[in-house]
Amino acid sequence: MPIERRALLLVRMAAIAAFLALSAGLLAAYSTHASTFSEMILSPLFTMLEYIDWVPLWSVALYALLLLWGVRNRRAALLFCLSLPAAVAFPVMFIGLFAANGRNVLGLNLLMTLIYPATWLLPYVAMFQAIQLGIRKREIGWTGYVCAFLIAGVYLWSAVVNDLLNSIP
Amino acid sequence: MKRLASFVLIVAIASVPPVFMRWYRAIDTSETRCGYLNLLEPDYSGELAGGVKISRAGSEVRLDFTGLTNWSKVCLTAMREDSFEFADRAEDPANRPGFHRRGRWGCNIPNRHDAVAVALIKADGGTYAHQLVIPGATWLDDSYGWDLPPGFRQCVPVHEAVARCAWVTWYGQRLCWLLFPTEPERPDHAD
Repeated sequence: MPIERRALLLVRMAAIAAFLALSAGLLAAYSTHASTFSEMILSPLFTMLEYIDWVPLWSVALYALLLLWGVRNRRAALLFCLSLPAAVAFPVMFIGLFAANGRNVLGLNLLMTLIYPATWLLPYVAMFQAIQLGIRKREIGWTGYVCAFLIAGVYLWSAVVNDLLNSIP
Repeated sequence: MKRLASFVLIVAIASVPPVFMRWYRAIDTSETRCGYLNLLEPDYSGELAGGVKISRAGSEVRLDFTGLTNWSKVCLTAMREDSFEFADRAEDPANRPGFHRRGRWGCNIPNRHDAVAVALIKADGGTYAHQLVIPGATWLDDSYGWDLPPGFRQCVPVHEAVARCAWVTWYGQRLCWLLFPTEPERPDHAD
């Protein structure tokens, strides 16, 4: 099997394993600590949100790892790595918030989703680029750099909004 | 070489959020404590920090504003939060005819314990207020001396603006109030 296909297989298996582990963790947390579920789920995610501006740099490390594994579609790899952390964290945060508080926070959730475009934008980017990963060899190109810059901008926006929300007395 | 340049560019792009946020969070806290900062407004805090010479000799403090070139007057004043009982007396050019705000205004939260509130005024009445931090000046704690009356504003032309300690005794403590050694202007809202 070519090294790229092996790498992609590894990436997909890792993604599936992470998804299953996350789902199992959420289920276990909810079934054993239903009353404190919200706090359990949201506290670490809110903590992560405080450092969200550093996430793109960690994504670059992930990107380097993918290249070392032999992924040849560099553009898709870069955009996938940049969008993946927020694509996982933001939806889980809002699902956790909704699961814990139900309809009481529906409006708040919708508002937060609008305030944090990372919630709906980056999962779409991550999924689309995950499909693109195995299609063909491709260099990043200037459009790739522009897209990476825009994704970095989404992280920056999230960090600024988070700071502003935290500073409201 | 091309690959290396590409990787450096990617790292540069990924560094934009942390670098910007580091700068954003380092902006003078007197402007961000109210939780709102308009980045589109001019920032004069650097000009203020660079144009003011702060010197200390023992307990004596000297603030020399004469290095400020783009302003016509300098005022020592007092800032109050919006919920202050006498909010209409807080340092705010909107309260005073002929004045208007310029730039990112300092937050209307009571004076920091290590800062003096300064208002710079342009010839056209444009006012910029800022809490100027004096490193190590814990004696400015507003529970001690630097709690100027609401509405107080002592203004002098920039070329004369050198503030020194005016020593007062308060419950047995000798306190430094930084004032210009000239006759203060009568406050607009004097009791």
